[in-house]
Amino acid sequence: MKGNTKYIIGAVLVLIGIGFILTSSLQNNLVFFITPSEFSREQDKYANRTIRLGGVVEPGSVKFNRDTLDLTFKISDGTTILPVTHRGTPPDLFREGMGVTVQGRLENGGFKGEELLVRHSEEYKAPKPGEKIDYRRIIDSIKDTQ
Amino acid sequence: MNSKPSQAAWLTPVLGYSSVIVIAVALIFTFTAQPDVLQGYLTRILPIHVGASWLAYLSFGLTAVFGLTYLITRNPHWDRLSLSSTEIGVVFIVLSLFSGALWGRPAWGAYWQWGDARLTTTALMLLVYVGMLMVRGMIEDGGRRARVSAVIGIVASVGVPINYMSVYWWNTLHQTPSLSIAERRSALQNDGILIGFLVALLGFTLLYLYLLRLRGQLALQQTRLEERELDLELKGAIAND
Repeated sequence: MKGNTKYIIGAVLVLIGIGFILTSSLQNNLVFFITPSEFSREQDKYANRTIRLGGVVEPGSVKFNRDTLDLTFKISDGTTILPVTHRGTPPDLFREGMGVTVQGRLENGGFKGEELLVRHSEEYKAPKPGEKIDYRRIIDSIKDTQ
Repeated sequence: MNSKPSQAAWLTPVLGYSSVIVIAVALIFTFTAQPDVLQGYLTRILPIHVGASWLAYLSFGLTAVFGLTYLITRNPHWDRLSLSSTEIGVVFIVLSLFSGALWGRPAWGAYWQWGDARLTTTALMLLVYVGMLMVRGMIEDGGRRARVSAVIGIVASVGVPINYMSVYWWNTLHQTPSLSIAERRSALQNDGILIGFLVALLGFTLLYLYLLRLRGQLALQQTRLEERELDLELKGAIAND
Protein backbone atom coordinates (compact mmCIF):
# COMPACT_ATOMS: atom_id res chain seq x y z
CA MET A 1 0.00 0.00 0.00
CA LYS A 2 1.30 3.39 -1.04
CA GLY A 3 0.05 5.25 2.02
CA ASN A 4 1.58 2.78 4.42
CA THR A 5 5.00 2.64 2.74
CA LYS A 6 5.47 6.32 3.54
CA TYR A 7 4.83 5.67 7.23
CA ILE A 8 6.97 2.55 7.35
CA ILE A 9 9.94 4.43 5.87
CA GLY A 10 9.32 7.20 8.42
CA ALA A 11 9.08 4.73 11.29
CA VAL A 12 12.35 3.07 10.26
CA LEU A 13 14.07 6.48 10.15
CA VAL A 14 12.73 7.30 13.61
CA LEU A 15 13.94 3.97 14.99
CA ILE A 16 17.40 4.51 13.46
CA GLY A 17 17.49 7.94 15.07
CA ILE A 18 16.48 6.61 18.48
CA GLY A 19 19.02 3.80 18.16
CA PHE A 20 21.72 6.27 17.22
CA ILE A 21 21.03 8.45 20.26
CA LEU A 22 20.92 5.49 22.62
CA THR A 23 24.18 4.01 21.39
CA SER A 24 26.14 7.21 20.83
CA SER A 25 25.42 9.29 23.90
CA LEU A 26 23.80 7.26 26.61
CA GLN A 27 26.73 4.84 26.70
CA ASN A 28 28.71 7.23 28.84
CA ASN A 29 26.02 7.08 31.54
CA LEU A 30 24.92 10.53 30.43
CA VAL A 31 27.81 12.14 32.27
CA PHE A 32 28.82 15.12 30.24
CA PHE A 33 31.99 15.82 32.20
CA ILE A 34 34.04 14.68 35.18
CA THR A 35 35.53 16.97 37.81
CA PRO A 36 39.28 17.52 38.27
CA SER A 37 39.04 15.63 41.58
CA GLU A 38 37.45 12.60 39.93
CA PHE A 39 40.09 12.82 37.26
CA SER A 40 43.06 12.90 39.62
CA ARG A 41 41.58 10.20 41.88
CA GLU A 42 41.44 7.76 39.01
CA GLN A 43 44.30 8.89 36.81
CA ASP A 44 45.01 5.35 35.61
CA LYS A 45 41.47 4.86 34.42
CA TYR A 46 41.47 8.09 32.43
CA ALA A 47 45.04 7.93 31.11
CA ASN A 48 45.32 7.94 27.32
CA ARG A 49 41.60 8.46 26.97
CA THR A 50 39.75 11.45 25.65
CA ILE A 51 37.67 12.82 28.48
CA ARG A 52 35.81 16.01 29.29
CA LEU A 53 36.73 17.92 32.42
CA GLY A 54 34.28 20.32 34.01
CA GLY A 55 35.12 22.99 36.55
CA VAL A 56 35.73 26.66 37.13
CA VAL A 57 38.46 28.77 35.51
CA GLU A 58 40.81 29.53 38.40
CA PRO A 59 41.03 33.32 38.80
CA GLY A 60 44.42 34.72 37.84
CA SER A 61 45.43 31.67 35.85
CA VAL A 62 44.38 32.66 32.33
CA LYS A 63 47.06 33.43 29.75
CA PHE A 64 46.10 33.93 26.12
CA ASN A 65 48.47 34.71 23.30
CA ARG A 66 46.54 36.56 20.61
CA ASP A 67 49.09 35.78 17.92
CA THR A 68 49.50 32.05 18.42
CA LEU A 69 46.01 31.54 19.96
CA ASP A 70 47.68 29.55 22.74
CA LEU A 71 45.49 29.56 25.81
CA THR A 72 46.57 28.27 29.19
CA PHE A 73 44.51 28.31 32.35
CA LYS A 74 43.83 26.25 35.45
CA ILE A 75 40.59 24.35 35.96
CA SER A 76 39.38 23.88 39.52
CA ASP A 77 36.55 22.25 41.40
CA GLY A 78 37.49 23.81 44.72
CA THR A 79 39.77 20.99 45.86
CA THR A 80 41.78 19.95 42.82
CA ILE A 81 43.37 22.34 40.35
CA LEU A 82 44.66 21.13 36.99
CA PRO A 83 46.59 23.07 34.35
CA VAL A 84 45.01 23.09 30.90
CA THR A 85 46.44 24.07 27.54
CA HIS A 86 44.25 24.78 24.54
CA ARG A 87 44.77 26.27 21.12
CA GLY A 88 42.02 28.42 19.68
CA THR A 89 39.89 31.43 20.48
CA PRO A 90 37.91 30.74 23.66
CA PRO A 91 34.09 31.24 23.59
CA ASP A 92 32.95 34.80 24.28
CA LEU A 93 31.77 34.09 27.80
CA PHE A 94 35.07 32.46 28.77
CA ARG A 95 36.58 34.30 31.71
CA GLU A 96 38.03 33.77 35.15
CA GLY A 97 35.57 32.33 37.63
CA MET A 98 33.32 30.93 34.88
CA GLY A 99 32.29 27.31 34.59
CA VAL A 100 33.87 25.53 31.65
CA THR A 101 34.13 22.07 30.18
CA VAL A 102 37.19 21.06 28.23
CA GLN A 103 37.52 17.90 26.20
CA GLY A 104 40.96 16.48 25.70
CA ARG A 105 43.55 14.18 27.21
CA LEU A 106 46.47 14.10 29.59
CA GLU A 107 49.75 14.76 27.81
CA ASN A 108 53.18 15.31 29.38
CA GLY A 109 51.66 15.87 32.79
CA GLY A 110 49.28 18.59 31.57
CA PHE A 111 45.76 18.44 30.22
CA LYS A 112 45.63 19.24 26.52
CA GLY A 113 42.18 20.51 25.58
CA GLU A 114 40.69 20.13 22.13
CA GLU A 115 37.22 21.50 22.67
CA LEU A 116 36.47 24.25 25.14
CA LEU A 117 32.90 25.11 26.15
CA VAL A 118 31.58 27.63 28.62
CA ARG A 119 29.08 26.47 31.17
CA HIS A 120 27.01 29.37 32.45
CA SER A 121 24.75 29.28 35.49
CA GLU A 122 20.99 29.74 35.64
CA GLU A 123 21.48 33.15 37.24
CA TYR A 124 20.62 36.29 35.34
CA LYS A 125 21.47 39.58 36.96
CA ALA A 126 20.89 43.17 36.11
CA PRO A 127 23.87 45.46 36.68
CA LYS A 128 23.81 47.03 40.16
CA PRO A 129 23.03 50.76 40.31
CA GLY A 130 26.19 52.61 39.39
CA GLU A 131 27.79 49.49 37.95
CA LYS A 132 29.07 50.26 34.51
CA ILE A 133 27.92 48.01 31.73
CA ASP A 134 30.75 46.90 29.53
CA TYR A 135 29.00 47.56 26.22
CA ARG A 136 32.12 46.78 24.25
CA ARG A 137 32.14 43.26 25.68
CA ILE A 138 28.39 42.83 25.20
CA ILE A 139 28.63 43.85 21.57
CA ASP A 140 31.56 41.48 21.15
CA SER A 141 29.58 38.72 22.79
CA ILE A 142 26.75 38.87 20.27
CA LYS A 143 29.09 38.87 17.33
CA ASP A 144 30.05 35.45 16.06
CA THR A 145 33.79 35.26 16.25
CA GLN A 146 34.14 32.56 13.62
CA MET B 1 -20.28 8.88 16.61
CA ASN B 2 -20.50 11.29 19.43
CA SER B 3 -18.79 14.57 19.93
CA LYS B 4 -18.91 17.10 22.68
CA PRO B 5 -21.61 19.72 22.24
CA SER B 6 -19.95 22.62 20.49
CA GLN B 7 -18.54 25.07 22.97
CA ALA B 8 -18.62 28.82 22.74
CA ALA B 9 -17.25 29.72 19.30
CA TRP B 10 -16.05 33.14 20.43
CA LEU B 11 -13.52 31.65 22.83
CA THR B 12 -11.08 30.39 20.17
CA PRO B 13 -10.26 33.77 18.54
CA VAL B 14 -10.15 35.44 21.97
CA LEU B 15 -7.52 32.93 23.09
CA GLY B 16 -5.59 33.45 19.86
CA TYR B 17 -5.48 37.23 20.00
CA SER B 18 -4.78 37.36 23.73
CA SER B 19 -1.86 34.94 23.40
CA VAL B 20 -0.28 37.17 20.75
CA ILE B 21 -0.77 40.26 22.91
CA VAL B 22 0.55 38.59 26.10
CA ILE B 23 3.63 37.20 24.33
CA ALA B 24 4.26 40.65 22.82
CA VAL B 25 4.09 42.17 26.32
CA ALA B 26 6.57 39.55 27.55
CA LEU B 27 8.96 40.46 24.74
CA ILE B 28 8.63 44.16 25.53
CA PHE B 29 9.62 43.52 29.16
CA THR B 30 12.49 41.29 28.07
CA PHE B 31 13.81 43.63 25.41
CA THR B 32 13.67 46.69 27.64
CA ALA B 33 15.33 44.87 30.55
CA GLN B 34 18.86 45.81 31.51
CA PRO B 35 21.43 43.68 29.68
CA ASP B 36 22.63 40.78 31.79
CA VAL B 37 25.93 41.36 33.60
CA LEU B 38 27.41 38.26 32.02
CA GLN B 39 25.47 37.45 28.87
CA GLY B 40 24.38 40.89 27.79
CA TYR B 41 21.57 40.74 25.27
CA LEU B 42 21.74 36.98 24.87
CA THR B 43 19.06 36.63 27.55
CA ARG B 44 16.54 38.11 25.14
CA ILE B 45 15.93 34.63 23.78
CA LEU B 46 15.01 33.36 27.27
CA PRO B 47 11.19 33.86 27.11
CA ILE B 48 10.96 32.16 23.70
CA HIS B 49 13.21 29.27 24.67
CA VAL B 50 11.57 28.68 28.04
CA GLY B 51 8.08 29.33 26.66
CA ALA B 52 8.54 26.79 23.86
CA SER B 53 10.04 24.22 26.25
CA TRP B 54 7.19 24.73 28.72
CA LEU B 55 4.64 24.23 25.94
CA ALA B 56 6.32 21.01 24.87
CA TYR B 57 6.13 19.72 28.47
CA LEU B 58 2.50 20.84 28.81
CA SER B 59 1.51 19.33 25.46
CA PHE B 60 3.12 15.97 26.09
CA GLY B 61 1.83 15.83 29.68
CA LEU B 62 -1.72 16.55 28.52
CA THR B 63 -1.36 14.10 25.62
CA ALA B 64 -1.07 11.41 28.29
CA VAL B 65 -3.98 12.82 30.32
CA PHE B 66 -6.23 12.98 27.25
CA GLY B 67 -5.16 9.49 26.22
CA LEU B 68 -5.97 8.11 29.66
CA THR B 69 -9.33 9.89 29.62
CA TYR B 70 -10.02 8.30 26.24
CA LEU B 71 -9.22 4.83 27.54
CA ILE B 72 -11.66 5.36 30.42
CA THR B 73 -14.51 7.09 28.57
CA ARG B 74 -13.95 5.76 25.01
CA ASN B 75 -15.18 9.10 23.74
CA PRO B 76 -13.37 10.04 20.45
CA HIS B 77 -13.35 13.65 21.62
CA TRP B 78 -10.41 12.84 23.92
CA ASP B 79 -8.52 11.05 21.18
CA ARG B 80 -8.82 14.13 18.98
CA LEU B 81 -7.49 16.32 21.80
CA SER B 82 -4.65 13.87 22.43
CA LEU B 83 -3.65 14.00 18.75
CA SER B 84 -3.87 17.80 18.74
CA SER B 85 -1.76 18.05 21.87
CA THR B 86 0.93 15.76 20.43
CA GLU B 87 1.19 17.81 17.25
CA ILE B 88 1.47 21.07 19.20
CA GLY B 89 4.15 19.49 21.40
CA VAL B 90 6.19 18.40 18.38
CA VAL B 91 6.10 21.93 16.93
CA PHE B 92 7.22 23.51 20.19
CA ILE B 93 9.90 20.96 21.06
CA VAL B 94 11.42 21.78 17.66
CA LEU B 95 11.24 25.48 18.51
CA SER B 96 12.85 24.72 21.88
CA LEU B 97 15.73 22.83 20.25
CA PHE B 98 16.17 25.53 17.62
CA SER B 99 16.13 28.48 20.03
CA GLY B 100 18.43 26.55 22.40
CA ALA B 101 20.94 25.98 19.60
CA LEU B 102 20.87 29.68 18.72
CA TRP B 103 21.57 30.51 22.36
CA GLY B 104 24.13 27.75 22.83
CA ARG B 105 26.43 28.91 20.05
CA PRO B 106 27.32 32.29 21.57
CA ALA B 107 26.96 31.27 25.24
CA TRP B 108 28.52 27.79 25.37
CA GLY B 109 30.48 27.89 22.16
CA ALA B 110 28.50 25.11 20.48
CA TYR B 111 25.11 24.76 18.82
CA TRP B 112 24.73 21.19 19.95
CA GLN B 113 26.43 18.64 22.21
CA TRP B 114 25.41 15.00 22.03
CA GLY B 115 26.81 14.20 25.45
CA ASP B 116 24.48 16.55 27.30
CA ALA B 117 21.60 14.74 28.98
CA ARG B 118 19.11 17.59 28.65
CA LEU B 119 19.81 18.06 24.95
CA THR B 120 19.90 14.37 24.16
CA THR B 121 16.69 13.46 25.99
CA THR B 122 14.95 16.36 24.23
CA ALA B 123 16.01 15.01 20.82
CA LEU B 124 14.88 11.55 21.91
CA MET B 125 11.45 12.88 22.93
CA LEU B 126 11.03 14.58 19.56
CA LEU B 127 11.71 11.29 17.77
CA VAL B 128 9.37 9.32 20.03
CA TYR B 129 6.46 11.70 19.40
CA VAL B 130 7.12 11.92 15.67
CA GLY B 131 7.09 8.12 15.73
CA MET B 132 3.78 8.19 17.58
CA LEU B 133 2.24 10.37 14.87
CA MET B 134 3.50 7.89 12.28
CA VAL B 135 1.95 4.97 14.13
CA ARG B 136 -1.32 6.90 14.06
CA GLY B 137 -0.99 7.29 10.32
CA MET B 138 -0.45 3.57 9.83
CA ILE B 139 -3.62 2.43 11.61
CA GLU B 140 -6.81 2.82 9.62
CA ASP B 141 -9.35 1.65 12.19
CA GLY B 142 -10.29 4.68 14.30
CA GLY B 143 -10.93 2.82 17.55
CA ARG B 144 -7.71 0.83 17.38
CA ARG B 145 -5.74 3.94 16.41
CA ALA B 146 -7.10 5.80 19.42
CA ARG B 147 -6.33 2.94 21.83
CA VAL B 148 -2.78 2.39 20.55
CA SER B 149 -1.87 6.07 20.55
CA ALA B 150 -3.39 6.56 24.00
CA VAL B 151 -1.08 3.84 25.35
CA ILE B 152 1.97 5.26 23.55
CA GLY B 153 1.10 8.75 24.79
CA ILE B 154 0.88 7.58 28.39
CA VAL B 155 4.15 5.61 28.25
CA ALA B 156 6.05 8.34 26.37
CA SER B 157 5.08 11.01 28.89
CA VAL B 158 7.71 9.58 31.26
CA GLY B 159 10.10 11.62 29.11
CA VAL B 160 8.77 14.88 30.56
CA PRO B 161 9.99 14.38 34.17
CA ILE B 162 13.20 12.68 32.97
CA ASN B 163 13.95 15.62 30.70
CA TYR B 164 13.16 18.15 33.44
CA MET B 165 15.26 16.35 36.07
CA SER B 166 18.14 15.52 33.71
CA VAL B 167 20.06 18.65 34.70
CA TYR B 168 19.91 17.58 38.36
CA TRP B 169 20.60 13.88 37.86
CA TRP B 170 23.61 14.12 35.57
CA ASN B 171 26.49 16.49 34.95
CA THR B 172 25.21 18.58 32.09
CA LEU B 173 26.32 21.53 30.05
CA HIS B 174 22.80 22.88 30.35
CA GLN B 175 22.13 24.87 33.50
CA THR B 176 19.47 24.04 36.09
CA PRO B 177 16.10 25.91 36.03
CA SER B 178 16.21 29.60 36.86
CA LEU B 179 12.92 29.46 38.66
CA SER B 180 11.97 26.56 40.88
CA ILE B 181 8.80 26.43 42.92
CA ALA B 182 9.85 23.16 44.56
CA GLU B 183 13.11 24.72 45.77
CA ARG B 184 11.52 28.16 46.35
CA ARG B 185 14.36 29.68 44.40
CA SER B 186 14.58 32.38 41.75
CA ALA B 187 17.85 33.11 40.00
CA LEU B 188 16.26 35.84 37.87
CA GLN B 189 17.69 38.89 39.60
CA ASN B 190 16.65 41.23 36.85
CA ASP B 191 13.12 42.63 37.01
CA GLY B 192 12.54 42.94 33.26
CA ILE B 193 13.80 39.41 32.62
CA LEU B 194 11.75 37.97 35.52
CA ILE B 195 8.50 39.68 34.45
CA GLY B 196 9.10 38.82 30.79
CA PHE B 197 9.73 35.20 31.78
CA LEU B 198 6.51 34.89 33.82
CA VAL B 199 4.35 36.74 31.28
CA ALA B 200 5.77 34.57 28.49
CA LEU B 201 4.74 31.41 30.38
CA LEU B 202 1.17 32.77 30.53
CA GLY B 203 1.25 33.82 26.86
CA PHE B 204 2.49 30.45 25.66
CA THR B 205 -0.13 28.68 27.78
CA LEU B 206 -2.86 30.77 26.10
CA LEU B 207 -1.29 29.93 22.75
CA TYR B 208 -1.52 26.24 23.63
CA LEU B 209 -5.21 26.50 24.51
CA TYR B 210 -5.86 28.36 21.26
CA LEU B 211 -4.01 25.84 19.11
CA LEU B 212 -5.59 22.91 20.96
CA ARG B 213 -9.11 24.20 20.26
CA LEU B 214 -8.28 25.03 16.67
CA ARG B 215 -6.67 21.65 15.98
CA GLY B 216 -9.41 19.82 17.88
CA GLN B 217 -12.10 21.47 15.77
CA LEU B 218 -10.19 20.58 12.62
CA ALA B 219 -9.91 16.98 13.77
CA LEU B 220 -13.65 16.87 14.40
CA GLN B 221 -14.36 18.13 10.89
CA GLN B 222 -11.96 15.55 9.45
CA THR B 223 -13.83 12.81 11.30
CA ARG B 224 -17.16 14.07 10.00
CA LEU B 225 -15.81 14.24 6.47
CA GLU B 226 -14.52 10.67 6.67
CA GLU B 227 -17.89 9.50 8.02
CA ARG B 228 -19.74 11.24 5.22
CA GLU B 229 -17.46 9.72 2.58
CA LEU B 230 -18.05 6.31 4.12
CA ASP B 231 -21.81 6.93 4.04
CA LEU B 232 -21.71 7.94 0.40
CA GLU B 233 -19.65 4.89 -0.50
CA LEU B 234 -22.12 2.66 1.31
CA LYS B 235 -25.07 4.29 -0.44
CA GLY B 236 -23.31 3.97 -3.78
CA ALA B 237 -22.64 0.30 -3.12
CA ILE B 238 -26.27 -0.29 -2.20
CA ALA B 239 -27.50 1.59 -5.31
CA ASN B 240 -25.24 -0.50 -7.52
CA ASP B 241 -26.60 -3.76 -6.20
